This record gives sequence, structure tokens and C-alpha cells, in this order.
Amino acid sequence: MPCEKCATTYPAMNSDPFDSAAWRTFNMLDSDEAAVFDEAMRHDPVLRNACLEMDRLSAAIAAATAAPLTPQTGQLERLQSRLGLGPPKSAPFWVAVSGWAAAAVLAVLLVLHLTGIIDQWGASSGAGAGNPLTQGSDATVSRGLGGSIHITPASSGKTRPNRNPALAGTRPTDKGPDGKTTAKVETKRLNQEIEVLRDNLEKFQTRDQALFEVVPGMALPIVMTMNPPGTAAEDPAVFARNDERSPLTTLLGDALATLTSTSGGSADNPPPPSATAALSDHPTAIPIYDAARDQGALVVSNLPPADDGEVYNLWVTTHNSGHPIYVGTLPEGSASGADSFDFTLGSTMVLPSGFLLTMDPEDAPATPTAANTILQGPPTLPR
Amino acid sequence: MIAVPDDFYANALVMDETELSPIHILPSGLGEDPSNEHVKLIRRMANNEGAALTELYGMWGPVFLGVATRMLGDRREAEDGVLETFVRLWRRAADYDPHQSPPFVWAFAVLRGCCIERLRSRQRSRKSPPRNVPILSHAPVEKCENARVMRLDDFRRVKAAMDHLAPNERNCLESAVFLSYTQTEAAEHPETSLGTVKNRLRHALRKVRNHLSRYEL
Repeated sequence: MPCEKCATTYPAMNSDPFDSAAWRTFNMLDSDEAAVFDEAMRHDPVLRNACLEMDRLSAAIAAATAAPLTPQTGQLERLQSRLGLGPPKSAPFWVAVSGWAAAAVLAVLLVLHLTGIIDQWGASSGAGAGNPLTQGSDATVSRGLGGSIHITPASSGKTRPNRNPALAGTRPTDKGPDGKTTAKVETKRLNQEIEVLRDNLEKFQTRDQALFEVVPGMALPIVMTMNPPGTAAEDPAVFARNDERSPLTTLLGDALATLTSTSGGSADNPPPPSATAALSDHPTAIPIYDAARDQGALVVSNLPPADDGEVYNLWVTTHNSGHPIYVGTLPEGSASGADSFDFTLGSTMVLPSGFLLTMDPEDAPATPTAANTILQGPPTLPR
Repeated sequence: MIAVPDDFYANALVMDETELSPIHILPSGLGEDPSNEHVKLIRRMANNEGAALTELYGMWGPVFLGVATRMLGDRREAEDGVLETFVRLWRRAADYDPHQSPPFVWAFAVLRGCCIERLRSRQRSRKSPPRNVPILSHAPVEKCENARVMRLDDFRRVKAAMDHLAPNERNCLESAVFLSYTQTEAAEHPETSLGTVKNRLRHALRKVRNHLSRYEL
């Protein structure tokens, strides 16, 4: 195709500039052809206009045919952080900072106390005289070998119940002879409580970290059952009985066995009777999700085909999100028996707290409500 | 009064639109930003206003993520692609010229470029293509309509034009828009040669353009 200005011929171009622009837009040219096209476009306004038209058309078709997806939580903060726009600090960061700050303040108070400053302040102000929590008790604090602090409980007097079992036996009585020891005991107790909480936090983090480590040949999946809302599963007694008769592992095994039998069974070799089917005919689903790999499967049983013009939508809830997040739409024509669908949540490091399956009109936006929820999991026990 | 042959309307009804001569009138207005809202946001981004980026991300983020997921077939990679797109939009905001292309079209081109780079990188590293997420498939157009992304009239124009296509033409055009027929992958479709794909695309595009132009009239 000759260029209008420089009369250079660009052999890779079609006679119709719109065709050339289309192949370029759809990435159907190899790198050499694309380079020739780009060079030609600089010289040829007709080609440039064709390209612009193709860009408009493809953008409009893409916007009109792709389902919008809600970005994962934290993506905007990642974007802002990458551009140095000062994203808001995350809550765990503040918890960590405030924890260390509190520990530092308490440590300073302890040092001040040990140097006698607080004792002097306590004597001058008569602290503790009006504090009911410090009456009738006695305690001592001593420094042990290696700098460890030992708190000796008093032999008499009322004590407040210790809310942390890990601290049982470490809390002294509340009142010193003149209230002087109250501050130091309280300081010591809070300090120890912070240490215990920090230890627990580290244990939880270590435990959770294992969920997000990819180990070849092994997974720590999150598995839960989904039942129709308001079914007997929410009755504690029935729930416990069902759980005893058909625990999650049995349900899962039955579902997988049913899948295998439907895909490979024969009339001569019928599948074994399913405990799930024997127990109930109501629809159930079992989402199995590997948070380390962001791979999940939804095994459904006894799910009736969606009504005409309606589809099943899967939603996930997490502890961090206040509302369910759309995962996807089950393909039409789902079997009424057992079936399995793959899904992803779009990101690792996400721990689902629950799943919802809703049935909504195909052509209407949907939000999970009590009215359209078909299955939900895990079953909730009434308080 | 001009006499109309008896078979005129019958012939008109069965006329194949591919026989119509190509119309070289641009479907003007498609993807335009009539309220100038997007342009203002991009100008604010050029002035390093982070709030404008946040607003634009809330507006375009979901649709971009949906498009990128279909282009890449992997939602996790699509999230990264969308992130990279907005980084580029932020850095190129000062160079944006609204006279060259509408804001959404400009941003979509950036998104497509990011996705093409990732597809090429995937090809270079010989990674096996990720499986498409079967549970995330098409959505009804009504779910896609968002007046803050594109004018509702544009959504309807495109929907009407796409509905006018034969199923194989529509599939072919959608596959091309979502980069399923890249130079390397087109050869991997044994059921259709590249020539067949291009012919089908040519017909589909011509029909869509004709329909859009007629819609404007």
C-alpha cells in the first residue's frame, strides 16, 4: 500500500485500511508487520483514522460484553502505594505499632517505678485510697535472677477475675499497704498480658502462614458445607445429629464418588448408595478452596436446574469484607445430580469465611439477600 | 407515484448486509465522554491529584478487570494487568490529548497493550496458558451497562449491532476483541485457519459498522 506523502509501499498492508487496522488492533500481525503498520500509520491519515475507529469499536464491544468484576480488596491501596500517593495504613500495621507503643510506655513506667519515682508520686497523692479494687489486698513485686520479674500474690483479699487463662496465677492482689504497689502491679500485669498476646499473635501468624505456603503434592484446603438457609441444619440438635451421622468428610467423599460414578459408571456396575442421598434430598454444596494456590472447586449435589431465565451465582464472604463478593455464574445446564465447578477468587492470601449460592434473573443485577439465597455455608448455629 | 415492484420488499428483507458497500463514515460518538467528566479527571491526574486516580479507578476498575480477565484468562494476572494499566494512565495523563481519542478509548488501548505484553511474555516463557475460569463467563449486557463508563446509548448501539451477527461471526469478533486470535495463538486453532478467521472477522466488522452507522442515521 503506497503512502500518500512519501509514496513508500508497505507490502504488509491490506488494500482496505480498516482491515489492516483491525489486524493490528486484534494483535494478529507479527512484530515485523506491526512495525510496518505503525510506520505507515505515521504517514497516512486514512490509516490513522481507521485505527482510531477500530479502537473505538473494540473498546465499546469489550465494555458491552465483558462482565465487570470487583477488584480484590487492597488493590487500590497497592496502586496508590506503587505511585507513592500515601495509601492509608492497614489496620494490622496500626495494631502492631500501637502494641509496641503500649509496651514501650509500660516499660518506661516500670523503670520509673523501680527507680522510686512512682512510689514518691503515689505517697504524695495518696493514690488508691478510694479505689475499691485495691482495698484489702496485698502484693509484692521482686526482681529475680536474670532480670525476670516475679509477682507474688497476696495471701488474702479480693481479686478481680483474670480474663486471660494464660495469666492465671500470675496476678497479685490489688492493694498494697498504702496503694503504692497498685500501679506497679498493674503495670507488670499489663506488660505480661501484652507479652502473652504478642506470643499468641505470633503463633496464629505462624499457623496461618502455613495455609499460604505452596507445598508440592499437599494442600490445606478450606472446606465447608452449604445448605439451604433456614433448613434443619440451623437447629443445633439436628445439626449435631446430622454432623454425627454425616460429617463433612463423608459428604465430600460421597459427592466425589457420585461425580466419579456419573462420569464413569455403567449399568452393570452401579455406584454404591450415597450416604448423602440417603440422608436428604435437599441441595447441598461443598466449596473446597486452596488459599495458597487460589484454586477452588464447588461440588454441588441435588441442585435443581435453574428456572428459565435465571442463573446460579456464587459469592464469597471474608472477615475483611462487609458484603459478599461476586465470584461467578455457574454455567447454564448444570446437572441436577452432582457436578463440580472450578473457581478462583483472584488472589491468594484470602481466607473465605463463607460462601453463598443465589439464584437470580439472568438479565438483572443481583445482590445476595434472604430471598434469593439458595445455599449458604457454613451453617450458622443460633446463638 | 413511483411503482414499486412486487418483489422489492421481499428482496430487501433477504439482502445480505455483507453485500452492502463498506461505509467509511466513522461511527461518531462511540465511546465519547459527553459530560467531559473523564477528561477532567485525567487533567487532575496530570496535576498529581491522587483523588482523581481513586475516582477513575472506581469508575473503570471493574470493567477493566472484567475485560482483562477475558483477555488473559487468569483473574490474578488480570488484577496485576489492571494495576499496571492505571500506573501507566497516571504517568501518561499529562500527555493525553482529548482531540486524539476519547478518554475511555485511550485507556482501553493502554489496557490492551498491557494484556498483549503479558500474553507475549507468557509465550516467551513457554508457560502453559492458564485455563479459563469456567465459572466466570459472559454476563448479560444489562449487567455491563454503566453510564459512568460509557453512554448507555452506546451500550445499546453495540448490543444491537452484535445481536445482528450470526453466532459464529459474533464469537469470532468477540474472540478477536479479547485477543484470542493473537498471531501466535491463531495458528493453534486447528478448526479454523487464519484466513477463515480473517474473512469471518471482515464480514462481522462490516456488518457492525454498517449497523452502527445506520443507527446514527
